[in-house]
Amino acid sequence: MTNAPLTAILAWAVASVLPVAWAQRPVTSTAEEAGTPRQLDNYTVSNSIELGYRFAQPDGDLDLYRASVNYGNGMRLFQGTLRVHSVDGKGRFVDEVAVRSSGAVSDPYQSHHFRVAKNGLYRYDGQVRFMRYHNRLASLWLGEHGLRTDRALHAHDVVLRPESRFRVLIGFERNRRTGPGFGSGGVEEPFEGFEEGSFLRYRSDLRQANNQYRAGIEARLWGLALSARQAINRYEERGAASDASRWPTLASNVYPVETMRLSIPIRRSTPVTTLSARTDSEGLVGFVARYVYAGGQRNTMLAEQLAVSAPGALAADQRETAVIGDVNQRLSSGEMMVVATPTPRWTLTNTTAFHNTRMDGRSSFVEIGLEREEVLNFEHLGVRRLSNTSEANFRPTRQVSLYGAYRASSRQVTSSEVTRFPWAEFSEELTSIDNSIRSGSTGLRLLPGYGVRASLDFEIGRADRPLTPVSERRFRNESGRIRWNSGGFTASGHFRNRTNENPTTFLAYSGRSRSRGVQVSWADPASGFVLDAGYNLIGLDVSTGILNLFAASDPASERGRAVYASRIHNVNIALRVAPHERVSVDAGYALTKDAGLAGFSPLGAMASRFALDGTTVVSSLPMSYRSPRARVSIAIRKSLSWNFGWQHYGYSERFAGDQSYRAHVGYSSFTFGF
Amino acid sequence: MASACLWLQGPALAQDTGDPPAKQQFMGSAVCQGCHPTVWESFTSNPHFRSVAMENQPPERTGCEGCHGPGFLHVLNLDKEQIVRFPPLTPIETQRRCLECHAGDFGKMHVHRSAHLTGEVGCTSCHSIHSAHDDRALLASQQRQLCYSCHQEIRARFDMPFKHRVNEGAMECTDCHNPHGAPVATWGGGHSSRMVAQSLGNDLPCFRCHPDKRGPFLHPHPPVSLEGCFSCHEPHGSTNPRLLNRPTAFTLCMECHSDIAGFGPRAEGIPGPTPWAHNLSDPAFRECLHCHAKIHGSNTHTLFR
Repeated sequence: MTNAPLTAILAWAVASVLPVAWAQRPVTSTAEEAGTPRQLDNYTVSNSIELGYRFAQPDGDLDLYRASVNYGNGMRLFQGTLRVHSVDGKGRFVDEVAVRSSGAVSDPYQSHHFRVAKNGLYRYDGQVRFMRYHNRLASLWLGEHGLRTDRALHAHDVVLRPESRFRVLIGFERNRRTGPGFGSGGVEEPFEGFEEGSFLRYRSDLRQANNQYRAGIEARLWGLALSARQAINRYEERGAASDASRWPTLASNVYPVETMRLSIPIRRSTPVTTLSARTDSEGLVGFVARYVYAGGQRNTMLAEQLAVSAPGALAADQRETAVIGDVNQRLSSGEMMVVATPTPRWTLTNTTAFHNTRMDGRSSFVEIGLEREEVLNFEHLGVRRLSNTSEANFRPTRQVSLYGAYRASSRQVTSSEVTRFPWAEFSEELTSIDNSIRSGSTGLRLLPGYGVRASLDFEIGRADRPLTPVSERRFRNESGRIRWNSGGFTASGHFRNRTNENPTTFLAYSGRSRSRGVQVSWADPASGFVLDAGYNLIGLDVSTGILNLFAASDPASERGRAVYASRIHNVNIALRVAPHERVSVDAGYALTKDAGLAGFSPLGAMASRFALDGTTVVSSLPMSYRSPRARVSIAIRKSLSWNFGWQHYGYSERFAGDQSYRAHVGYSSFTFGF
Repeated sequence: MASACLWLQGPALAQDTGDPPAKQQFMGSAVCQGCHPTVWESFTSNPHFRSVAMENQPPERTGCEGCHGPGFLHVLNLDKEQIVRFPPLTPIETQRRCLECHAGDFGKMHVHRSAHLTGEVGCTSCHSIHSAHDDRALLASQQRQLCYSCHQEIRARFDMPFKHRVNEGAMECTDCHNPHGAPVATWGGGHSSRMVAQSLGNDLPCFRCHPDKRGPFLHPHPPVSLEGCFSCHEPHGSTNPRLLNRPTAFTLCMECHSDIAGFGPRAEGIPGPTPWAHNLSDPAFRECLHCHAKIHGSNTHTLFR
């Protein structure tokens, strides 16, 4: 073994940390790579890098652009791959090295995957991802659009002796998020400057981190595959706010806030145990058994200092609030699945599963203003569910398959809540609600040959004592797909209907969603021609009865209705041609257009987000989102090509303030291998 | 050439080993190279090549014959019908062959209740053993393109202005889904979502990246753990901000908090949480999240403040 492969790895690593920005190209991905595999001693090495500059020219509502696209200017390393394999699978320390990266350093969305393995000894898989985005938060009046959220996700797993009967697994996962968050402090008592029941909504800068440490063993013994895993999750959140200048001023906060300091540390620890066993081969009868227990405790604290000043007052009034609490949660679930294949034509499965959640928490809310107030809270939520599913697949011929299933589940939800004020106690007795769901489904699959595949599914179900008006009660699902593939030509279509009705004595909830779609693609590898085009319609109609939410002198008119409708049309077209052996051109167009309620209701025509008409609330969001794109790639040499890409984003929405934007995003890059 | 190899090696194998006759029908991958050199060339970077390199696997789990079965008759008669070929196999036949080795894999534990398998979508619909796009999982193409080829509606969702960044490369479908089948969902009735992976083994997949929403909270918003995030959010992509199912939060909230008797605690005679004083004619009550900012659960206030 020589150092040649290591040199290549080092060179690639150096290239990847050059002070340039990596970025993945806009959606126009051709996944093409430069460079051909080379033999370096006992290793086969291939790599490809795309390096370039991206420019972005947004116009219109920049806040919304940053919330949904967020590409900016700068040098990037668009894409990188490196693959190293030992030729005979007997490398001294390493048999495989693989790195796959897209959009690194300064693109808002980056991902990097790594693998290093030595056959029979170890395998390491890692991934690191970064995301930056600007939330489109609930309102516009705090400038939240300008606040960036950063998210970093790491996952690292090592398997020792991966090909043996006993394997050891060790892993670590980290999830870190920094950015804005919302909270609000309640005021339980009339307080200077605040009316009873008013609140103060604040924005804090959150720092959240979740670390998971995990280890486990997998063994294959006595015809069984056995697994035991233990993980510990540690979550920590720190939030603080102290800048009063960015606070909202609500009508109920009659006096201005002078200063405010807030600290909200949260800690959570969650141990998770997973045990599983299953038959290690396909036989007449097999089984799968699994049990998971996740315990855990969460400690929370809120400390707030607030000063408000009344007009003409000599000094600001002070208020201090402290909330200290802890919550225990225990989740246990398990299932047992039995699989029988009495003949090659039949597959029968029966799955029995349970899930149990218990959550208990208590806190003390202490408020020191004009006088000291203390409120104690206790809350319990329990969910216990038992379900059973029987499924059968019957294949009378090689071309036809029939599917049938029956599912039943029973759920018990218990809750209780106690709030103790200094002057009174409000408590909700332990409530127990039982809810059950039953459904049956059937399906037909056809594989008649000639590259045709079709399926049709139907499900109908009933539930009793639904938990909410939108819960499943009388529901029905229908769906179908068909696909024809012949050589490089593929055509497919699908439909899906879902309905759910939840009637009550006076009012009803009714929801109906449907989607239809066709897709056609044609690829000719010899000429480099690819055409892909599709159309989808996604519709949703929801009507819900509402009571007591309008101020009306006549109680009868307090019965209202909320209506939502959406008609989303989606068109996507992608074309690739190679007019010359050194030139390839990609072009595409994507359109999403929601017609909303326009044309379906007099109110709908004016409904942009919502409209109120006495006792009816109509909501819809007519909008369109267009994105044409193009890319030209010219091969300068065998392992070097120049690319130029452009993508336009056009978002148009009719809403107060016209939150629309347009953006030209493009790049120029070189793809090369060495 | 293959016959020559057979002439040279076959009898030697039969004589030297004391194995039962069935095992003697295995020729070893070296014989296959003679007629299939290009397949062999790419096979060295294939994860299945480890079975050859390790030299400690039984012949029925080694190299070419690990998947294609014993090759003695195929080589002897140069007959492609006398070896296992995958294109003519039905999805279930393909799956059975693959599970001979992969049945014990932790991630494929629930393969028999996978919607793919019950829908007659076999392993080779997504995986290409000899011309894979990705060496790690031997996928036939880029993962999202594979999924989009059947799930066109989901592809349309990722074209929408608000979506998880799958097309942008920051996420993959398998971050939330297990295409080989998932455990029974711990939310809702457990009937649907047979392909949704679970964080921590028995929790909503969303909490893997959004651990702050998991709680436990002193004052939890029950739908989060009872019905799942999908009650309010469309996870793939939406025309509505924050992947909400409705363009404004208050219309979404109203559908449950409609003050109608007969559901949940109200069916037991317990008053609903929405007071009549929330008059929608007053704009102050059309932004529920201004007051109930901690809508996923609060540690400080029973009304999610």
